[in-house]
Amino acid sequence: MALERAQVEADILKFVASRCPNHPGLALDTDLLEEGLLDSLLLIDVIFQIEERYGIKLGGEHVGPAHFRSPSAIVDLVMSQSAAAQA
Amino acid sequence: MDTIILQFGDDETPARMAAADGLRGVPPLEDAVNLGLAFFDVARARGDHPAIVTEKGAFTYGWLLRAAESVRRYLCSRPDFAPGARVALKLANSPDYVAAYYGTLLADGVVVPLPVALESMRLKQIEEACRPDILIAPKNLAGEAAATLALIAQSADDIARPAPKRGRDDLAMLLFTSGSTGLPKGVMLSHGNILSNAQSILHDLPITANERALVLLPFCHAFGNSILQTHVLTGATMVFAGALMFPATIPQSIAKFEATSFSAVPEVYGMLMKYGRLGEQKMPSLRYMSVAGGQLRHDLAVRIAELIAPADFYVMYGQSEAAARLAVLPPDQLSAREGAIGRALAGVELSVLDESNRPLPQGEAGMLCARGPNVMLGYWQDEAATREALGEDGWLRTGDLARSDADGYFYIEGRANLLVKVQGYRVHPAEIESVVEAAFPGARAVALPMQHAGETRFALFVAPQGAAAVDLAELRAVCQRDLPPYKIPVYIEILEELPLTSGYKVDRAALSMRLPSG
Repeated sequence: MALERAQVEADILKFVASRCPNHPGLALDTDLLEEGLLDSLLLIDVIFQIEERYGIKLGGEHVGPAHFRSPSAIVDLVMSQSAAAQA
Repeated sequence: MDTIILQFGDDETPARMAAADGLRGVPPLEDAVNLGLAFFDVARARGDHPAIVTEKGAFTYGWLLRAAESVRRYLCSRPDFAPGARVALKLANSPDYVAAYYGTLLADGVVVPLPVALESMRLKQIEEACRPDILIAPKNLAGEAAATLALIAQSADDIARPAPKRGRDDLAMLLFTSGSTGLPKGVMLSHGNILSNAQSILHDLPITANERALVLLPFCHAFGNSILQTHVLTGATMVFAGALMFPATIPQSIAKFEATSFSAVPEVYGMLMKYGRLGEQKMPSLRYMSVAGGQLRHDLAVRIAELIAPADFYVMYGQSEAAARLAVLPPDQLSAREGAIGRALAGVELSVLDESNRPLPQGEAGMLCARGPNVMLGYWQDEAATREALGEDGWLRTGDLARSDADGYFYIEGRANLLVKVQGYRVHPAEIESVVEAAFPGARAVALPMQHAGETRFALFVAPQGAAAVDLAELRAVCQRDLPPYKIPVYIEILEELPLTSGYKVDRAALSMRLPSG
């Protein structure tokens, strides 16, 4: 079943927001790196969430600043990997 | 406490790679009596050799000498500054950190590194425990009233060799770590502790003056501090590039900066194996990698060794209380000795002792104890804890249960107390429990280690008790707000009652059984 982008956006935003309680204004385009919100443990947990929830497997080429800069970049990654897995 | 901001700017001198014999005339490490002076002599001899390389450029030993001297002169010029004064460093790994570290020692001060990302409650406990006289912090963490300190104009060659008075037995730094009660303990390391441990490591590891180590371990951590000492005292180069968070940047930085070595805690190697594309990136300059700060799974260690060959992989073992490394497993023994932490480093004694401090027969598990010139002076203002850890015979009880084999290799079997290693940090469950219990008076909290996404993390059980109401969402929010990421529980459950042992203590083993596997 194809993923609904709106649902993935809501999921990712909710998870990242739950880990950044001191940043109430978190939005899809918040720069997680510039704001210093992403650390290695949050990264590990986001990857774990993505892999468990959407049944996709990430590789080394995905775990870089380009795909984790913002919640919307993470959503893009989930959508593209999920589509690739379906194809 | 006054706050100081260092404004040293960049190093404009062109760095020039010096040959290893550029250390000629530097007194041998075993003759050094003061860590600051040992740095001074190496820095003077290495001059234009790069001490630190970053994405922006190089910082030479000459620059580092001027920067450290700037700190020393400033501290000595203060009428309220006396030998033994504590200088807290709230700086991330940077040329400024290194300069502040050795500058403080050259002024006869005591360095207290403070982790930049520590929770406020813990930071307050540490500050109250050691009452630093001066804080050196970056601009964004310093208050309005902070004074700024500029680089002296004098060239490195014109700086007179200072004459610090503190010697091998005097306190050089206070390293705060978690103790067996959960409260922070200040490990007191002397000049001699740090100098002798650096000497032991340089004996057993192939670190030369031409080394270019990729350094991502924080210097405020015992392992990171040890890496700093061994490289500076050999006049080698440290590369600050890449990010632990994005593992692929590690092999990339090694290749780009022609790094010869890399050291990290087990969690980093776990990420490196999963997402670091290790084995894809060619790293012809690499000579070795090392791991310490927790146990790396044997199959992962063997796989890493295969992927980085012909470079070597060293498994090491240490403790803050031993400044910091105690054992090394020679790379050629890795595959044959599954789970071994290695043999004692040169100059260090390791032994498995029973409760009366008698050596146990080989193969029997008991307390792993260490003795040597690298073992700490004791815990800061805590005689009871010092007595508990350090016997009169000089044996340091590590808190790890271990056994040895016929060839003198040691194997960790477990912990004698509740301390847990997470991301290389020693954490007592009480550190988490006390935060939760403070936020929900009357509730009883129990934190336990659990496996999550292939790593050790924490689970939390809370029993409200009596009228106190505890809400799961509120619990989560408190943990997120008041704990640093590595202490935040990944699993939380509210229980009516906590299971008790026959001795009416919380039955941690029974709680552990409730945990989801993962």
